[in-house]
Amino acid sequence: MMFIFYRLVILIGQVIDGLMTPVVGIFSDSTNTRCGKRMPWYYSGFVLMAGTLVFMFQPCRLCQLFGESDLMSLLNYGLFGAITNIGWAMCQVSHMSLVPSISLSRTRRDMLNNLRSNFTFIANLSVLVLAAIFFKVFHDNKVEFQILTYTTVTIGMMASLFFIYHIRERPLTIACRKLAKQYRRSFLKLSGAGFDADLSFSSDSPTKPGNGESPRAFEEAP
Amino acid sequence: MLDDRDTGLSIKEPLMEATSPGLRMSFQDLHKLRLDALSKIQVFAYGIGHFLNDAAAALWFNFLLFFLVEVEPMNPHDARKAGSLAG
Repeated sequence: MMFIFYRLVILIGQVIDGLMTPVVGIFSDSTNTRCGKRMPWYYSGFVLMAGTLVFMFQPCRLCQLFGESDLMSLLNYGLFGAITNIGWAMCQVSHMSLVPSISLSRTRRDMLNNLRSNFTFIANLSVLVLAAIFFKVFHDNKVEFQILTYTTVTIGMMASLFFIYHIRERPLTIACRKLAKQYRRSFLKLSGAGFDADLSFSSDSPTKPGNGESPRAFEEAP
Repeated sequence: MLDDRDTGLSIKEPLMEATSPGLRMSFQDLHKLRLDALSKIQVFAYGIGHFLNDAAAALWFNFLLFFLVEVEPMNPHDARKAGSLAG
């Protein structure tokens, strides 16, 4: 028996992920709800992913329902893998594109992105450490994988729920807009007072913001 | 429309200092001003918001292929009987 099925399962997941990432990006740009632009995508992606990821590391559930066959096996893992990857892309894109919505400061945006990458490493490391522990403790591969998946997904879900509880996009975006207005006011006041307008905060901006001309940060404000 | 109460603004350092009379401020001070309403806990919450994704990716890329081939083979002949990982 060739290993074509396993290749297919992995390939389907990756292809779906690759397709969905730009699609989610395009559609979330034109989304505007009362929860914000990006958060609805995060919510739905979170539900999709958390709901289906555990089925990837379980015996073929559809086979138990509809009878064993190679095709059913492929359908089971392909389908759950595809849904997981759709949710994955939705979460990833919306989480990443949330940064410009909730902060105008370049420094703070960088800080948020750094924090995000740090937690990527921590997540990878903790999965590997958990796997090492479980593989030592349990001696049945099936049990190991189920417990590993459930533990990881539980920790991840708690983290995501913490995020969902604390980050409300719309108030933060509105606050940003107000702060930008205030910033602009004080900026204009200072320029009006006769200081030389040498702004260091947007050094990579092509046009130096002068009197009556808004710095780039304002234009990026949602 | 939402007003200040709905937005739940938690801006500890008001920006108005810059425009209030009597207080001197230079352009260099401008970028010390807060440009978002994120509290520390919200920054942390943002950081861990991607944890599930990263954990899922780690599971997927490290273990899925092994799981499919060795633990739940679609065809029993595919399993190469590596036995338990612990053993």
